[in-house]
Amino acid sequence: MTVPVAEPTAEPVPGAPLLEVTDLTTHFATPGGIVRAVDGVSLTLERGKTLGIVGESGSGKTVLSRSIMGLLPKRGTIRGGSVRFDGVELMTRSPKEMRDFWGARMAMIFQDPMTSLNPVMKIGKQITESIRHHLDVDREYATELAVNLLRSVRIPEPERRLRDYPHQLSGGMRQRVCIAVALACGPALLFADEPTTALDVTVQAQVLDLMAAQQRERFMAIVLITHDLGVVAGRADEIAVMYAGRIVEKAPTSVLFTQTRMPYTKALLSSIPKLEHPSHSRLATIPGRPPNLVAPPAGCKFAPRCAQAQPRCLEEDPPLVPGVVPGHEYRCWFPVGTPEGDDALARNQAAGTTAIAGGAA
Amino acid sequence: MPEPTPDAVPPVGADGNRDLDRYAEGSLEPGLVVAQANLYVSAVESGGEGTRRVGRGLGIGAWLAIGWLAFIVIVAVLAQLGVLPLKDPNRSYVSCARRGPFSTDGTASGFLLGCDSNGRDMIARLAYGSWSSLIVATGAVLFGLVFGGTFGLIAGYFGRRTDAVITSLFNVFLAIPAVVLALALVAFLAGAAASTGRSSVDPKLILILAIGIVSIPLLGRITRASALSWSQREFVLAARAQGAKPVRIMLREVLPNVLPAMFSITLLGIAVAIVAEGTLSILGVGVRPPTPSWGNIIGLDRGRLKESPHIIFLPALMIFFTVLSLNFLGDVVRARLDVRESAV
Repeated sequence: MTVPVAEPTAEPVPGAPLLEVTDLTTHFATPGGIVRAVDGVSLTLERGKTLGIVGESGSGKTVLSRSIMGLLPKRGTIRGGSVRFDGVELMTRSPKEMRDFWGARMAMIFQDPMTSLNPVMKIGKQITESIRHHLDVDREYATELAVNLLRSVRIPEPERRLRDYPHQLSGGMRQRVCIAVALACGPALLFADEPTTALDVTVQAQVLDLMAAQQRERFMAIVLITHDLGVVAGRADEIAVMYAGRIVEKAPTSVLFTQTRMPYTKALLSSIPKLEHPSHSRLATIPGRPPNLVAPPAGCKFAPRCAQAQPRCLEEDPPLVPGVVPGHEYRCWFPVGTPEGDDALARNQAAGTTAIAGGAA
Repeated sequence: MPEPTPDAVPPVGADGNRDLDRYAEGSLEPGLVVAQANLYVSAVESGGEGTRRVGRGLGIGAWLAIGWLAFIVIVAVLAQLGVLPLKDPNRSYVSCARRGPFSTDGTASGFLLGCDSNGRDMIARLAYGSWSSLIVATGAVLFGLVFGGTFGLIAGYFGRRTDAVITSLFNVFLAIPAVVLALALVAFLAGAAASTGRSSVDPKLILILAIGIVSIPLLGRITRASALSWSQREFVLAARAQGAKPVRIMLREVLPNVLPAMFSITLLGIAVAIVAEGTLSILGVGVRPPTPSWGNIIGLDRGRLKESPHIIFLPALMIFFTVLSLNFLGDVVRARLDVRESAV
């Protein structure tokens, strides 16, 4: 079956990456001050590739994805930098102009399939809505497309399910419907904002496999946002770790796991429970909380929680420096696995304290 | 993937109560009751669907209310069609003026509920009057719902400045006493109709407009509140992320979810509008005599409350039962709504 594709609104630039984000900032004006939710993020994504964005709650993952798509409310939001999609600058476009991209060229899957479907609209209608909006097709053809979409996300008896309401489906089924809705117009870029967080563990893998299969079939790029390194480990081509609205380490997946440089990434990795640990062993945690984004600390944002923080970390903000492997970047003065880092950690362990606690004493 | 339906959970509350009753009769050991009561409490705390006091059925009260409203509507329509074997509501039988209900002396025997001060049959006047009262109240609320609903939906969906402007307008309107505003509107609209040479405009239409305009901010605020909360839902953002236009999102995504709340408030609104029509009639600007309405039957003979109270009490009772039924049904609908919203 041939799927009609919506006309691109501007000429794509040949050879340009699908998504090119340069120094994107997204600040929110609140009564308490300016919240720097996204603070100078740059990334690129090629067609057919998957970028994993990892970070704990409040690190700016969701805001980053919505800011790239231009979905944030206009008022109170200050956006800067550049977002180029298929060679076309998106930052200067109004929501009205963005509507031609939304759904048709880039789509989003949300965390909770319980709330991201309209409870009073039939499944079929929710899928055909955007098909008929973006692609100039008649009702029967749209319905036929919807049936095929539901079949491709492996929903049994798709013809019958079209007439169901969301509450008649289980959580996993609903997330499949959400994927079908997002894929309806054949987007080139799919944002998946914690697509499996609200699902049972057994269903999580199914949904991720399904997304991977659809990605191969459609040569689609995916931005997979999650707080779970386990989710992106086997599925992302590249992983960006976010902390306090910034990318603190970015690397091809295997490099990130084998040549971890940023202490935050290391802390995240060591807080994943391992099967070989004896039962009832205490889970590793990262002490402290993410910094206040209204008044972030000077220097490295992670320094207050870092095991190898040195006086320099509290004063100077480390820049994003390239690692040995091409595509590997990190922000740290004393990177893990280097003589400086080992030295810093050894010094802190010998002193029984880190720079911040020592300074306070 | 079948999910457990609410029906599958047994209604624990009912059984718990029955045992408490048995304990009251002395046929149950106290220890058992404590166990039962604990069970009951924990069931309530667990908050299962089955412990909801609103069961699957509507309950006798709701059915009585529906029955009364159906009766009133059928009588009003049939009387208007001239199908009912009623006397002419505007014909005076001078000899039986002010005769009370069930009066058996002389010519009054044909008038089951007596006559008004002009000797017109009360049954006929009440039956024909229900048409005027219902049409004015329903028309006014539908008018208010269309305009208030539209404004409320826009305010709730767009929020921010749009919301601030519309909500302020609502508040300004609400600050004017409703009766005064309605009186002024009736006077203004009637004057406008007369000055444009359209004195033949049905006075009921003027009333519908006046009460309808007064009801706009009330209905609009309810719609706004509901639209506001539904507009924050993720599926609205999801629709936006699929490229849907604002009007489309409002009509297709938000409105269907707001409709139940609007339906509930419609019932309450009609009740208020019936009373409003009565109030205006008593003030002399309601449905224009000789066309009867519940309000103007009271209004015409309001001076005779002492000597012939039935003329006042009979239409008052009609208003009383109708408003009670509407309010009761409105509450039932709202209770059901809460169930639905939490289930979603």
